[in-house]
Amino acid sequence: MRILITGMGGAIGTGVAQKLERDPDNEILGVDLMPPRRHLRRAKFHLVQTGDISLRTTLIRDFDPEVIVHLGVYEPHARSNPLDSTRRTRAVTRSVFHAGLDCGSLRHIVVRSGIEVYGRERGTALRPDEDTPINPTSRFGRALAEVEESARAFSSLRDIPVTILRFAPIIGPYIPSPLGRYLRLPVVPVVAPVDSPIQLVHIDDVCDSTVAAVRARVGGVFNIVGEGAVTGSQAARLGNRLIVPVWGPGWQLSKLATAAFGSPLPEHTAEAMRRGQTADGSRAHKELDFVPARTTRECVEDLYQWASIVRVDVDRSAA
Amino acid sequence: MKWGFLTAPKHLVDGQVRLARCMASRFDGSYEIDSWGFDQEIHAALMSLGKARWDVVVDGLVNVPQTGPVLLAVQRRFGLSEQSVVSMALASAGRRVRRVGIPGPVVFEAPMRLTGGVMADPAEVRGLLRDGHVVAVPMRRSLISTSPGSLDPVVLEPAIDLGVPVLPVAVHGSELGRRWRVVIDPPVPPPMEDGRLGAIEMAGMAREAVDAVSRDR
Repeated sequence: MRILITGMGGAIGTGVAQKLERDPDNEILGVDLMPPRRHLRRAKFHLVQTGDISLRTTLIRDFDPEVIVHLGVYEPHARSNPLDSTRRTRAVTRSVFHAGLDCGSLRHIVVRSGIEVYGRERGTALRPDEDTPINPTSRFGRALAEVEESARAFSSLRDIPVTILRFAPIIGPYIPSPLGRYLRLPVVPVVAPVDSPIQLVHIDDVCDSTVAAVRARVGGVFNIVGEGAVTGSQAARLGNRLIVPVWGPGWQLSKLATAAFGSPLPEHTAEAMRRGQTADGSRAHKELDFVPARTTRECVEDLYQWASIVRVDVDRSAA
Repeated sequence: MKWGFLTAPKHLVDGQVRLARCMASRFDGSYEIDSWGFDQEIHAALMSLGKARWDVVVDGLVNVPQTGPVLLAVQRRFGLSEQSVVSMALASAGRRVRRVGIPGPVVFEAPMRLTGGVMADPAEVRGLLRDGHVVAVPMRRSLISTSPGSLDPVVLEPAIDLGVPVLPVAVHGSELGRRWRVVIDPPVPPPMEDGRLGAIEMAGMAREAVDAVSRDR
C-alpha cells in the first residue's frame, strides 16, 4: 500500500511512519518543512518549504498514494508562532487536497484535527461528542475547522472516505507542546478559585490511533482522548510545581510572565486552562476498536518523568 | 426521618471532616475528577452536610433502576433546594445525580461541576446517559406547587434517542423548613414520534405526570 504522510518531520508524523514501515507491504513517502525526528528505515522523505506548492504537488501526483495521512497541521507555539502555524497549515492542506484530485489510486484519507474545533463559548458543552456542532473560539480551533472543511469538500468531490481524528491536547516527553511546556514551569498560574478539567492524549496513543484509522478504513469523525481528566492545578501539583491562583486581569499578566520565561501560552491552551476542555471518546472505542493505552493522569505523570538529559541508543544496524 | 434534627450535629461534623479531607487532597493533587468535572469526595461531603440541613422522605425509590441510565424530570418551585433534595433522595439508593443547568456567570461553572452540575446542552446529557448516569432535568420555576412548570424538550431528546426511561419527580417542602418529600413515579411511556417531536410529546407527558402526583399528595 502506498501511503503519503504530510508533516512527517513532526513527532506524530515520524512516529506514524515508524509504525507503518514495519509492514513490508507499505511504501511510504513523507513531506514536511522539517526533517524527521527519528531514524526511518524504509520511508522516503522530501524536505519541502511552505511556499513550494508546485514541488509538493508534483511529489504527491508522481507517488499516486492509496492513502494520504494528513498530519501537516501546525499547533501555535509548538514549533512556530501563531501566524506561521496557521499559514503553514493552510498551505499544506490546500496543496495536498489539490494534488489528491489527480491521484487515481487514492482510496482513503486520514486527517489530524483536535477537540479545539468545538470551542468553549459560554454555555457550551464541556464534554462534546462527535455529533456536537463545531464552533471554534481560538486561532488553532479555526485552523483545524478549515482543515476539516477542506477534507469534507474533497471527500464529496472524489467520493473517498475521510477519517478525521480530533485529538485532545497532545502531551509526551520530547515533543514540543505549549501545554506541556507550561505545566513544566516551576511556578504554574492556574484559575482561581476552582479550575475546570482538561483531557490529554499521549503522543504514543496519537500514533497508534492514526495507524488504527489507516487500517480500519472507516470514514467519520473520532475524538481521541485519554480516559479520565485532571485540572490544571492538579496536574501542576502532581509534578510538585508551585501553583499561583489568578483571576480576571491577573490571567493576562501571568500570560506575559510565562512568555518571558520561555512558555508563551497560545489562545487555545489558555482557553483550556481557563474554561476546561474534554470530549467523549467512546466512538473511537466502538468503530476503530481503539482505546488509548494511557489515561490523562498517566500522560501528566509521564510528562514530569521526562529527564533533562536522555541518552538514546544509536541504531547502528542501519548505518 | 421524623426526628432528623437530633442526628444533625453528627452529619454536620461528618460533612466538615470530609470537606477538610477534600481540601487537603487539593494540596498534593491526589483527588479524582471525571471528564464532566465531578468530584465524588466533595459530593459525598455535601450529602453529609445536606443530611444535617434536611430530612428527606422518598416515595417510589423502587422505580429508579439500580444501575444504568435514567433521566429525572424534576419539579421546581423556588429552585433553591429541590435539586439538592433529589440528589440526597437518590444517594440513599446509592445513585449519584447529575443536575442539568448551570446558572450565572462563567466563574460558577467549575464549582457547580464539582458537585454534579452540567450545562443544559444535549451533548452533555447524551454523554452522561451513554455512560449510565442519573440525570436530573429541572422543570421551569412555578411557585404554585400543584401546577409544575414546563420542561425544555431539547435536553430530553438524547433520552428518547437512547431509549432511556424518563421518571417524573414531584418535590414537596418549604425552603425554610427541614422536611421534604420526594415522589418518584414510574417511567413516562415512550412517545409515538422520534426526534424533536417526540421530545415535545415527552415533555408534555412528564409535566402531566408531575402535575398528577402533586394533586394526589
